[in-house]
Amino acid sequence: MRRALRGRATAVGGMLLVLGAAAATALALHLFPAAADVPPSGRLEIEQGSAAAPGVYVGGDDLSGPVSANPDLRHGPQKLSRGASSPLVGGDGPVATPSPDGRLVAYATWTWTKTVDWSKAFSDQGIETGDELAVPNLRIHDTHGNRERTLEPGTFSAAWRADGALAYVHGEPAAYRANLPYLANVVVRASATAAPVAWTGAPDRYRVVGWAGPQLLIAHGVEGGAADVDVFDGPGDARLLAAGAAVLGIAPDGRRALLSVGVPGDGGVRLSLRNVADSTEVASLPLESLSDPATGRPLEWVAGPASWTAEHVLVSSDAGLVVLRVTDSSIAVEQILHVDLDRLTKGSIYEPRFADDSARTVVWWADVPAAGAAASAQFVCDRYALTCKRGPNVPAGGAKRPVYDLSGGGR
Amino acid sequence: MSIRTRIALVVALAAAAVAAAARADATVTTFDFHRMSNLSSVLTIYRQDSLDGSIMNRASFRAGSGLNTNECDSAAYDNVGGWLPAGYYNLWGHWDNYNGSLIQGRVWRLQDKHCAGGTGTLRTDLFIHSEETASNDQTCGSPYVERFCWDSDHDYYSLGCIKIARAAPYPSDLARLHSSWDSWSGLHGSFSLSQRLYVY
Repeated sequence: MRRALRGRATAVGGMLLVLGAAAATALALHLFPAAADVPPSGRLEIEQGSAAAPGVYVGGDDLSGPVSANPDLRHGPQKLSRGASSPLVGGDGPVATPSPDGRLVAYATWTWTKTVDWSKAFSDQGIETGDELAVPNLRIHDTHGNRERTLEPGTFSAAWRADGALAYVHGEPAAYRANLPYLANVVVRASATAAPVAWTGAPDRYRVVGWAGPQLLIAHGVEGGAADVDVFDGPGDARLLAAGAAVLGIAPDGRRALLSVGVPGDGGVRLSLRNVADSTEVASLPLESLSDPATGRPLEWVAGPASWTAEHVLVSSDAGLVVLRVTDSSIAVEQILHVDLDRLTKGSIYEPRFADDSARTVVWWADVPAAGAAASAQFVCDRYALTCKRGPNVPAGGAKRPVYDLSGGGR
Repeated sequence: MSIRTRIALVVALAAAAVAAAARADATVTTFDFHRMSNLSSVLTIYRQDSLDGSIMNRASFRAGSGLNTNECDSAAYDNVGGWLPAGYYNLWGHWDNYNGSLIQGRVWRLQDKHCAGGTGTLRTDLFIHSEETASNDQTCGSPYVERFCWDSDHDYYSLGCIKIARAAPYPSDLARLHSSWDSWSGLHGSFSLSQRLYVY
């Protein structure tokens, strides 16, 4: 009898346990998203292979997009008149930007007017400070008609507004001169064929970051130190968004910008989410609160240009890649992906982009260690599976770079 | 050919030109920067014989450069940059009281440099400098201005320039470097000296 009771008690207890576990499971499912929705942080496993990354890319004078929304590029790559290159921007921004409908691509070109051997010092080649060495020049490629037109010499750093207006900088003088800062005005054309209108009153170290709706975000460089970020509401109508800061990305609706404020070693860095309309900060996050999942070390830096899809923001860092979840009023870490930068790259990652609307596929490129001539490679990653395919090494100047525009608001 | 032999050869060639202009100056002052890590590399200043490049004096200091090791990563607009690109550099100025908005004090100005990599970035606004005011003081008290106050090893980080400490024990590395320069070269203001820095 006692035995039977004990048995019944055990059975009842077991049922309670099962019910409790079921209730806990249901609660967990209610409180937390499914595991598949939470991409894990960790080390990216990288293997050699090729993967066709969605999007439009430019490598040298090849414009391609076999897996893109542009029907003219799905049929095959197109040849640009010149190789895309923008040494004054480097990897800090796009070398080619698509118009809002994707048909036009404004791309940067660079023409050396004097042959320079960069392994040697300037004066051994008869180059003195102030000598003209090169001229940047924007070109606009029409992917539908496979035609091109050239903008005025001294132009680069382009961004398209949702209505088709085009902003860029125009150097005064047009040429890059040895050892002298490249000073430029910001100009805007109402369309690709409209006349340019200066938005700045005097040339300075300006670069266009992108449109935030009708407002234009500009990086305003400073000799030897951190740049400022300005907002232009119209010609001559500028104000400070943040001092000593860099724009990582602009929200898709154009109302906010995510910034990195401060310089490592100079009191630390924090992420700052700001309203573009009035420059107020709505959220911030100290970078030192983030750590590399493989080494445990706090992050020292993050860098743009970011890729921003819905609430997901992808940036590069000294750990590798960081995905942030950014809402209208908050910044949180979603995922940190460790990449062995010293082994796989020459030290940093360029232009990481979400390649699909689900923000699952990530594409980036890097200069890679190689015997002989400098080389680059493209990487295509599944950030849920923590795996990447590394494409073949290509000559450094021919690396496939994404064609994108940081602008937000109505695009 | 070893680095030092290469530098000696370069110095000899450069010195030949200098010697032609100024026979009285029998020595040439050069730097090399051995990139090892962002926070701990080595900057060496040499006094060399103009004719054969032999080293007469040298002094080495811990120095930093960049936030990562990618020489193509410019900091001009995202405030994150790699260390100084490899190669030979002209020096085109030295000032004791440089008064830039962010870089001040005792500085040496370097020529622009094109990196070797996919972005083809031009690295510009390059200096050898520390963190001090134009009057060679520190702003570590009140007011506290970090960029003019050397108060931690993190100050070796730079946006691409070479940085050297202005910290105890005194005289600081910056003071010793500057003293060597003043004793061996003595040039101030704007000038153009070929191949006076080699980065590797």
